[in-house]
Amino acid sequence: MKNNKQLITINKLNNNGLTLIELILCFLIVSVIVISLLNTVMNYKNKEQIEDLRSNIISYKNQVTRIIETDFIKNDISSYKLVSTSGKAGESSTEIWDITFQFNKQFCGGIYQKNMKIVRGNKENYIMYPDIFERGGTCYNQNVKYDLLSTTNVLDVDVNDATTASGDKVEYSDIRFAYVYLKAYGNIFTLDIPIYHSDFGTNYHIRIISPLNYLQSAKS
Amino acid sequence: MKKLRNNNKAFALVETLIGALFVVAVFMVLFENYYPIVGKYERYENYDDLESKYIVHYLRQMIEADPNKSSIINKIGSTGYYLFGATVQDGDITTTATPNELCTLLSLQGSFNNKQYCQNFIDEAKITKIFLSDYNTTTFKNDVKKHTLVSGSEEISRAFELYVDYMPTFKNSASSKSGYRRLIIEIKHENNDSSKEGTDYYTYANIEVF
Repeated sequence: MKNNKQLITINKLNNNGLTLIELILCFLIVSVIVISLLNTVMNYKNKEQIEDLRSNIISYKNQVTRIIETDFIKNDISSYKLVSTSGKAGESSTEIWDITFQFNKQFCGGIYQKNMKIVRGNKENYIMYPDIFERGGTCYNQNVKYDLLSTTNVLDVDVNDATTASGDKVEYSDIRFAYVYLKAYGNIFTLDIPIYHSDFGTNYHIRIISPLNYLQSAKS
Repeated sequence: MKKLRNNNKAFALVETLIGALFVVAVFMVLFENYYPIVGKYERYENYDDLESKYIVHYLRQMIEADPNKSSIINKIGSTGYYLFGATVQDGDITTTATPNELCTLLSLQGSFNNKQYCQNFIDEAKITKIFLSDYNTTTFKNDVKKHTLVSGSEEISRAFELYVDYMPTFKNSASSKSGYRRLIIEIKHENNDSSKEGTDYYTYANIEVF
C-alpha cells in the first residue's frame, strides 16, 4: 500500500523543467556569444557612419565639380582672375577667395562672367557660385550656396593660427576645406580644394582642371 | 508500477550545440563571400569617377579638334589598340616614353597650339597612361589580361589590369559604332597625407572617341 502511494507520487512528478546546472551552462554559452559579437556589431555601426559620411562628401564634391565643369565646357572658359583673398581661417574667422571666370559664350541675359566665392574656416566652409538659367522667356541669375555641412564639432590642433601654442586645440567642424589651390599652368586652369576629415585625411578633392580658351583657339 | 513517461519534446544540450555550430558555419561562409564584394566596391571608387571623366573628355576634345586626328586614330592599325608612350626595350636599355607622345602628334597651326595644350594638360592632370583602342575592346582586354601587350614591353600594374577587366567589352554595340574608338587613361594622384607616404593611388576612365 505504502509502495503504491510512493509510485503514484512519483508518477505525479514531471520532467518539464531545466536543472540549475543546465540553466547556468546555457546562460554562460549565450554570454560568450553575445560578448564576442558585441565588438563586431559596434565596428559595423562605426563603419556605417563612416560610409554615410564618405557618401555625403563624394556627393558634395561631385555636385560642385559638375556645376562648374558644365559651365567651363558649354560656355568655353577663356580666363580667370583671382579678385581677392581676405581673412584667415580660424576659430571665429574665415578665409574668403573671390574668383571671376570669363567665358567666350554668353549665358542668358548677355552675361559673360561668373563670380565664385570660396569661404574656408574652422566652422564655416562653403562655395557660392551663380546659377544663370532661362525659364519661360525670363533670365534668372541667382547665387547658390554649396555648404559643406558638418555633422559635429571636434577639437583639433589649430593649424591655421601661428599664435597659439603648439598642440593647443580649438573647435573645428569635422569636415572642412583644407586649403584652396588655384593656378594657371600655361593655358591650363587648375582649382584644387581638398576636403579634410580625420577619417579620410584629404583623400577627397574638388579638383577642376580645364584648358583655357580652347574652343575659341581651335576655331581660329 | 506505472512506467515513468518520458518527455521527448525538448532538445538535449548536445543537439543545441550542434545546431549552433551549424548556424555559425553558415554565417562564416556568408562572411567569406561578403568581404571580397566590399573590397570590389572600394576599388570601384577609383573607376570612372567624375574628375577622371572630365579629364578624359578634354583629352578626347584635343584629339577630335585636331586636323591630324585621322593619323592619330590610324596608330591603332591591325593590333586593335595603341599605347602612347610605350616602354622601348633595346637590349639592356629600357626607355620609358611618356604619354606626351600623343601631344607630339597633334598640330600647331597659327595661334592654335594644340601640342602645347596637350602637353600642359597631361602634366597638370598627371596622366600616366593613354591607350587608344578599337571600340570593341576584346583584343585589348585579352592582351592586358595575358600581359602580352603589343606596344613594347610595357609593365601592366595589377590595378590597371583590374580596371580593364572591369570595363565592358562594348562588343554588342560595336557593329553600330563603326569608325568609333575608345580612349582609356590612367591618372596618378599623389597622397599628400604625410602619415601615408608612398600611398599614391591611380584613377581610371574611358570614353568613346568619334
